Amino acid sequence: MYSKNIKIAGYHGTYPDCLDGILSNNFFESNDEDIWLGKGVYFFVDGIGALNPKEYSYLYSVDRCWDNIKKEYTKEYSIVLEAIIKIPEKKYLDLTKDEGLYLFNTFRADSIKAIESKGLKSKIEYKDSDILKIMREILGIEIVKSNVYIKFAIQRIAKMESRIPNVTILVVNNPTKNILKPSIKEVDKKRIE
Amino acid sequence: MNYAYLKAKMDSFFADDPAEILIKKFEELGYEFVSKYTYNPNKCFTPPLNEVLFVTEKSHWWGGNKKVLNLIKKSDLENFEVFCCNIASWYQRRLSV
Repeated sequence: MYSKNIKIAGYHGTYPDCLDGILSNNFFESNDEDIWLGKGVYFFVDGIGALNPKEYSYLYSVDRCWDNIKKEYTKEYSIVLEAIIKIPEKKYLDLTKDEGLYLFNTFRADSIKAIESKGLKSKIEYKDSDILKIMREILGIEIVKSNVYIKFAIQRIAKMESRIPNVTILVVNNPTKNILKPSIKEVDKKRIE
Repeated sequence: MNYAYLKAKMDSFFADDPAEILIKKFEELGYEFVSKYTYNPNKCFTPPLNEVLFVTEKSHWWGGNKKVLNLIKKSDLENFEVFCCNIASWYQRRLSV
């Protein structure tokens, strides 16, 4: 069946020692199931942020290499990679749109209702990342876009808690298929300080 | 995003009693499910639709649907007490699956 694809540029902050591996093999999905939208390759994309996605990619990579015990950065440089992500519309959940949020909220509510209809309740709180993981499996979703609140160093230092999203991110599963490897290129390199 | 396609797929999934599939998937993620209800023979509780509602005291009972009511009516008091115990254990066992 015909399925339209759209393409979008995403930005990912990483380090020079990771570059060759990514250029040769494409991105790997994170192993962290609990992170924001679950397992996948994360990109900052154009959206609601006050800064551009390249800047957020840099800030995030800086945060990631901060050693809070030694109180120092573990990397000297950060690089920002750009990649073109191919988005098959039938495998795409856009949580920046009302329709996408409706799908997610309905899936979550109906899942819990189905389980409760058997007289059961969970002993622990349901996590968004787990709901999304199951939703991906059931509906065949491979790409999720969402506005989220991420604490970078500035928010952490200023002790800014918020439920208002500050960035737009895209998480990609099946990177070999959905991230165009030839499109991956370094677009920025900065000393971490 | 193809909303119509995803919505249709989701509706189709939920139309076919997906509870067992969902429970299995959540359990694989480390979730543990327990009964929503705690059996207490002296307290009434609200069961799921079409399930059994009962309260027992030594000489006091309600059945929650007609089938159960009829079954209980056919029993004498002694049987009824046994029957209620059976319902309770069946009910708790079923909910804990």
